[in-house]
Amino acid sequence: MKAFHHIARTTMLATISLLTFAGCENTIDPIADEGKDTFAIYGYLDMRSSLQKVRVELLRPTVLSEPLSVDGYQVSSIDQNDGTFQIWKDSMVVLSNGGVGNLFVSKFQPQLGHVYSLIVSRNGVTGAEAIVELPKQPEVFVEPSVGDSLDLSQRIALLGATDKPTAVYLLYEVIPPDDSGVKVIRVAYGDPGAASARGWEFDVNLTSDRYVIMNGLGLNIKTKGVIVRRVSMEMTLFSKEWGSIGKETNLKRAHGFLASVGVFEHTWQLDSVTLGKMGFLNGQIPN
Amino acid sequence: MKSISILPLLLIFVAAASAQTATVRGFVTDSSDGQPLPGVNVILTDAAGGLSGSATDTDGFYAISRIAPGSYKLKASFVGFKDFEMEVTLAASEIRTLNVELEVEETELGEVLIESVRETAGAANVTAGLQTIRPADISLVPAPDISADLVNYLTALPGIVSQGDRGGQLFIRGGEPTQNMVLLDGMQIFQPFHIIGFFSAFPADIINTADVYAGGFGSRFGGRLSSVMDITSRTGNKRRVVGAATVAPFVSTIRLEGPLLPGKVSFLASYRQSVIEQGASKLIDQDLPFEFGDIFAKIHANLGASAQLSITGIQTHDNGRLGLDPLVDPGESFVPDEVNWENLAVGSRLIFLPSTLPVFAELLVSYSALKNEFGPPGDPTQTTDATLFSFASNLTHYVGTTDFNWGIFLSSSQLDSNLGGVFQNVDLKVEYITEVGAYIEPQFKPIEGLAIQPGVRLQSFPSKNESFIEPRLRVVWNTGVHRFSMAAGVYHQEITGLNDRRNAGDIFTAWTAAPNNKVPEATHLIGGYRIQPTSWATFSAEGFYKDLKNLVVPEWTAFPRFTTNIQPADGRASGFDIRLELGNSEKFQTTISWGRSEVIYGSRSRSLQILTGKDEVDYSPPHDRKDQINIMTSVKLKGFNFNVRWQFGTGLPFNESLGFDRWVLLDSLVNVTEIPGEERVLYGRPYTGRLPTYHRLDLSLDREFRIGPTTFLTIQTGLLNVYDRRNLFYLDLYTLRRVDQLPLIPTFGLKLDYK
Repeated sequence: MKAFHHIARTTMLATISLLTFAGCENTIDPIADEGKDTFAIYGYLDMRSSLQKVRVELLRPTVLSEPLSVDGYQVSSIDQNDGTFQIWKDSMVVLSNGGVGNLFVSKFQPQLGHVYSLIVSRNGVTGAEAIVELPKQPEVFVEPSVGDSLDLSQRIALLGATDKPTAVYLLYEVIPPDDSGVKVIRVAYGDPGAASARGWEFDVNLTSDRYVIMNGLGLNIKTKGVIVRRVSMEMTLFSKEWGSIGKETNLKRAHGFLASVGVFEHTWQLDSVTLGKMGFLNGQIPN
Repeated sequence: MKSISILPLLLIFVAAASAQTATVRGFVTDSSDGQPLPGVNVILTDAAGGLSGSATDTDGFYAISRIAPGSYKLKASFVGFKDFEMEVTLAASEIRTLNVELEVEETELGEVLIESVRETAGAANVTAGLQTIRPADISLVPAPDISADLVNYLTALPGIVSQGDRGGQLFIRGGEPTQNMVLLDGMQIFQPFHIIGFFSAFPADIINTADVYAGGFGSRFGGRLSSVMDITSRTGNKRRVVGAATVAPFVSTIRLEGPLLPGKVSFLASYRQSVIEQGASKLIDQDLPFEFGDIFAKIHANLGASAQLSITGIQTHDNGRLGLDPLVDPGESFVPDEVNWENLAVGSRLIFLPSTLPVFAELLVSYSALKNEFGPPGDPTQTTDATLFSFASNLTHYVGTTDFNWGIFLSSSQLDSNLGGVFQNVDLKVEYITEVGAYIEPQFKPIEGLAIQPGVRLQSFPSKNESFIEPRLRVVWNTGVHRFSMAAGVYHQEITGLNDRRNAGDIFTAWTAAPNNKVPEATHLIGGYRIQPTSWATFSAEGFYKDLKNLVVPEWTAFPRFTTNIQPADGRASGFDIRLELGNSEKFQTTISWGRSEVIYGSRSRSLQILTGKDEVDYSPPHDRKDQINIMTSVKLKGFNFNVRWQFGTGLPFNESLGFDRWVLLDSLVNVTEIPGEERVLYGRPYTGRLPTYHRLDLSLDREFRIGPTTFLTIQTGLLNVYDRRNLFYLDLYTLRRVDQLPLIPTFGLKLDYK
């Protein structure tokens, strides 16, 4: 009985304590601490342009609230390969829905294989940081051409490349027989090829390229005497972030997306036999 | 197949064991209405004063076996009834069926109590997770309506967490609502709790008893991870037609019962319909867009002295709007999503006593269906249709101090769900699931007061190529004023419910087979102690641990609005509860209970690893209420019943947001200087926030007046949420708008009872 009374008394005391200390609070702080002073960053470094643009906004506390001012915040970047430091300029843009966005811009052209740090800070204190690497320059392996003049092709391998190159163009620098000067014919290949053990591979269709070149020069397909001076390809390469949306993040104290786009160009020599099968003369300048 | 081979052996054993002894068995009923009386003590006394006895179960059934041939005095006694005594002479091998009708006791004023006094089971009377509830218990809790309801009592028990005044979801000792098995007369009811949290499909008027296993349930039950509520309904009055009608701000009810063949066949029917828009909504001048109702009917027949048949049917419906549109300003008109569900269940139960064997046999056949929809009114985007046909046979062989319980079961389910894209990585199809199995669960009583009940349940799902062996154990030891109890078991749930708890306004549940062939599994361990030093004081304490595996939870990512997958998780729930009950239901009764628990889910999903940088992330799911206190007091004075209940619960976990951004899908070279992006909420780690504490005081006062020889009028009045606490139902993270639970509501009700 004594033990029973003791337990009963303890229970009553616990009840009263809970009532006293826990009962009155009725407010909620719905924003997690790690969400305060956190940013949303959207954009990509673009090697095709000399002007870089990134949207940087503070996270808002509710969906209905207006965008928060980023006055006092500074956005800067460092090229970790050569140490170049850039301070980005703050500007406002009107978006397609009539809303406004905070846009930061900087004049420079990023380089293939370079690593850039983008830093959002205030009074020297880093608020958010992102690291983005431009795609590395791939090593190119050009296989000998195969086939006859009716079906002539050449395989090109980008060694070690993991992502599909896009906006691939073959560029033929040619001199027509009328000696009207050097002309450049761009043959669009779109987003060709497939991944392989070596990297990324695609085939150049030299037979059909001849038709495009002759058409571009306004010549009959049977016209002889066109000289090829240079053969090259140009393509757009995407950084790894594009392939991992929602899976990995390169942002610290920030959400969103920051990636990069690079442009890659490569020139190679077509042998005389191949050019002969194409009906062209070899006037290539040695690399 | 194994069960079939075990059966003859068991029968031979039973026959041999009972060859030289006799058995007395039978049903005990209330002579005034023919109702079975559970909890009646039936005692045999021999000439030397030796005693043997048994207590009746929910069917009013008792059995005393392995009695030496000879003459005995049989006595049946129960509070509120006159003792029944008779001389019995038993021969060797005799099996005597002896049904007993108890007569109600007269009051001091010489009036016959029309409604006999029925005992409360007591809130502190918990044994290894099992709480038995009787209608008298339910009537002690203040309710918003004069018609008491089972769920109102359940939410007053420690370890049972309610979603609140609205939503109709119960979480039992760490388990989710879809992990609770709810049975009414053996029929499964998929979603029995109404959309307003005070009401379920089970008004007190139709309940005989409700056995609520908060865990550790025996081998007879399976297919759910968390709990079992085994509810048996009353049988109708077999002597005369009686009934009742009530009017109140939330619900109006009609109940009618009576004999179809006097003394043999009875019916009981109940109809309830919400009147919230006409009643409670006007009382508090607040839109309460909820509508629900239920219809219950039961026919019960005595097929002679040794057999009874009942046919039960129930239909429920719920409809309501719980949500907010985050992109609509307050005050703007919009049509929120609507949830509705319908249960239908029909079943029959045959119980019989074979004349040559000391056996109690039960055959159950039932059909259950659920239809649940969520989405814009009239055009739901998420739907589920579940049907279940079930057959079960349960037998108990009485061999001296041992009860051999065993049974076989067969069920077939059809589950057809459309998730409307809620979970993108779930490929739902129409599922057909067949389950067959058997169980055996003998109860040994080796010494006075000790009952050991080991069990094993074998269940197989041929269509899924899955089989499980589930060991179970329950032990109860009564010694003097003390009771020690424990329970343990392994449980699997092949048919699972998927729901998205990130949105409290979405209470849609899709029923389907366990995704990815990973069947959720739980292991329970419960230990308890109860002491009853006097007839007016009971104290109990119970601890529990549940280990959970292969749970299915929504995937956690920083951008949930765009990736809504499910992911596996493991978990554990542990805690204890303490209950103190003082007084008795006749004059004064008070119950204080405190439940403490912790529920942790752990996930190793890739998305959480990216989000947190850790291999395994533990978090508290949204039903992890750490502490719960309930204080209930009931006073009866000069014909008045005054009930008070105060509830307290620490805050439930919720998702803190990091904030909102405008999400730009950069799957191509999008111009970020033009594209505005889509509004997005960003979450941090799951459920790191805690809502404010919940507490509320409810009062009710009622009195019954006799207005005719057998006609009574009860007037009830009360106050819900007396000090108008703003308890949060849920917080809309998009707008930070809060939806509160019900404010201060005055209630009143009238009940006209023809007894």
